[in-house]
Amino acid sequence: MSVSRAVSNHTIQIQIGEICAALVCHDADMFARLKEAYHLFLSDKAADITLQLDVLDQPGHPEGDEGSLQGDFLREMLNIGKNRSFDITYNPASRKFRVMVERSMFTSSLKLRPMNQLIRLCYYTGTRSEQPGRPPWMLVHSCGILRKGKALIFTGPSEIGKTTVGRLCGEDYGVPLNDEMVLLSWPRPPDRGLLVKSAPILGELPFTTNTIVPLSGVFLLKQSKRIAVRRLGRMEAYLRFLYQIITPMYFKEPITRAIVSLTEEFADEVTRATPFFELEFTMDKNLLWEVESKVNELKAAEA
Amino acid sequence: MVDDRVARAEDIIWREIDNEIAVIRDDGLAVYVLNKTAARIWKMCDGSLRPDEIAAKLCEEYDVSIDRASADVENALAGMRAKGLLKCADDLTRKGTSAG
Repeated sequence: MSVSRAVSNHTIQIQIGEICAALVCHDADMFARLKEAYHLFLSDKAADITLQLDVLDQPGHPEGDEGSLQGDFLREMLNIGKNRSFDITYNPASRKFRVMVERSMFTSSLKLRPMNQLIRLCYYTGTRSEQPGRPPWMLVHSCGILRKGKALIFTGPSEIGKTTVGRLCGEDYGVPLNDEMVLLSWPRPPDRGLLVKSAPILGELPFTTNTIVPLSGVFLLKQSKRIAVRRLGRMEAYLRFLYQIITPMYFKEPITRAIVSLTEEFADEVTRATPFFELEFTMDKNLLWEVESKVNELKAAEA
Repeated sequence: MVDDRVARAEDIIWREIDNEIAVIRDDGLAVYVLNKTAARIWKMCDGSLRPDEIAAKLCEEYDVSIDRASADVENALAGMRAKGLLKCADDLTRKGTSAG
């Protein structure tokens, strides 16, 4: 049975885009939490990359590694405070990350969400190892809603209301794919359509489905006291979307020109391939969905 | 002698969209948008022209006086320099010297 490879006593394999990552954790409690959190993303493919998570109960340097911590460069990117024990190593030959981290990292109100940046690191590292060049999917900071077989994505800076929109829409109008990040494809020939894929990135809303669907529309959110939608010009869409693309991250590698170029090219191609709308929204979910007909009107007028 | 030909800095990524140009520092942290006129000036900053030559070209392309074009070029280049988007004169001089 193929599932046996996806789950063992201390390993689960999860799918992140095209990459299968083995998550190894010998701590029973933590492993049970990981297994529960990622149950919709289990995969029985051969692992492309491994992330071993060693959970430390006591603060302080990991035993035996005092003075040789290698993780400082990633602390900031992973948002791990200086007061917490953290170490990360990567063996390119075996494609294995080993992360040592305090248990308390995962017991705050953030729950397992510190895992998100490790998943991001695994995804982009594994993708580059498998197929150098453009990752086939890019992580985008957004809330994805599945509706009528397609995905709407709502994006914007933190605290703008992505989770709120996800909650409002999820009740009656659609199924939230993720309220934190989704995977978005590059525009594909022949019609330059885009696909949206669920990502094992933990937000506030629970995962309800794991799927790949065509992109229906992109909305940049703006909190307001009214419901309104307007078509964005290409430059405005490009500039605002650029900051919502999750920059590829690699072990011990600063943000390079190549990485910024990749992100910039993605923003250019996506905003060239699909219309972007700004959505001013309130907490009224019924009014929120009136924008759908408004968007259809705008699209029809352009056609 | 100081070479005053104008060239874009090397650590820059830029994209033309609808006659405007977005200029991104290669750390990805700063993005600047150049309007149509500044965008035209930016595209001429390839290291081959001096500011007065850029102004002369603007005069050819747009129906403006040389004084107006010169002022536009001066203002635009000053803004770009302040943001670190252009190579400084010393860079160009060193390059010219090392190239023999």
